[in-house]
Amino acid sequence: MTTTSFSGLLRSLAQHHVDFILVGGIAAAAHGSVRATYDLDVVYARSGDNITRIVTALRPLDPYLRGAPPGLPFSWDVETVQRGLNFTLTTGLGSIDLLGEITGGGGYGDLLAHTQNVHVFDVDCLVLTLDKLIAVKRAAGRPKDLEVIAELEAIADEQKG
Amino acid sequence: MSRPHVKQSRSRESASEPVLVPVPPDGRDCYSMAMLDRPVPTVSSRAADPVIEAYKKGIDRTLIRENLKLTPDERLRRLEAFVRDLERLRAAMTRR
Repeated sequence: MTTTSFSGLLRSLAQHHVDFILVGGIAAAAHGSVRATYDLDVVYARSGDNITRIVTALRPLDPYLRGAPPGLPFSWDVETVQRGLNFTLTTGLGSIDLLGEITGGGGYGDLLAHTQNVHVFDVDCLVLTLDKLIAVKRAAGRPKDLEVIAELEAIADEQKG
Repeated sequence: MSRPHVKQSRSRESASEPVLVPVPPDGRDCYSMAMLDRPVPTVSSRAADPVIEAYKKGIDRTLIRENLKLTPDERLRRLEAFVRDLERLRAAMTRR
């Protein structure tokens, strides 16, 4: 059984100086959401150097395509990441979604202006702002996000007092 | 180009064009000014969606208020502990 370790995944990315932004459920949790999430969603920079760092950071954790049958010829290397964009992976420290782009937000460079610094698990990292998180959830237009958006907007209301 | 509706409105309000559309000192046109000064949409300025408003009624704000007393680090540490407890529970139930 894999034990989820958001802290371990984050530290691994940080130790290898990966450029990434926390998004999705983990970002919502950082902002105050009380909903549980079981994977780490990050938008990563698509530069060649950063892809190399991601591959190096996750390689010891044996990443594999989440939900795929075992035994597929999946190779975790720079070429694989360069050929793809978004990857939903299982690792030895739990699930991670590596997103090259997100609906309504674009890529790492587009999102940078909509981030704030947080210090979590002894790691300094970037998290999408609450406003932008709501905007991208709205843009995604998924029925399952409606309750999430409602909660995020409630958080924004509470923060405003 | 004739703009009778603009002239009528101006006349009705006794407003001159400089009052209605101040010309910026750097000569930029009004459209550019408007786009530059356009506020970035925020939660407060975003149009309310009736479906989301309906969902909001079901949100337990007491839990949110308690959570907002914590730091982001404390929130994520709690989340991680919760997920691990859940995984242990699931594993125990699978073994039975």
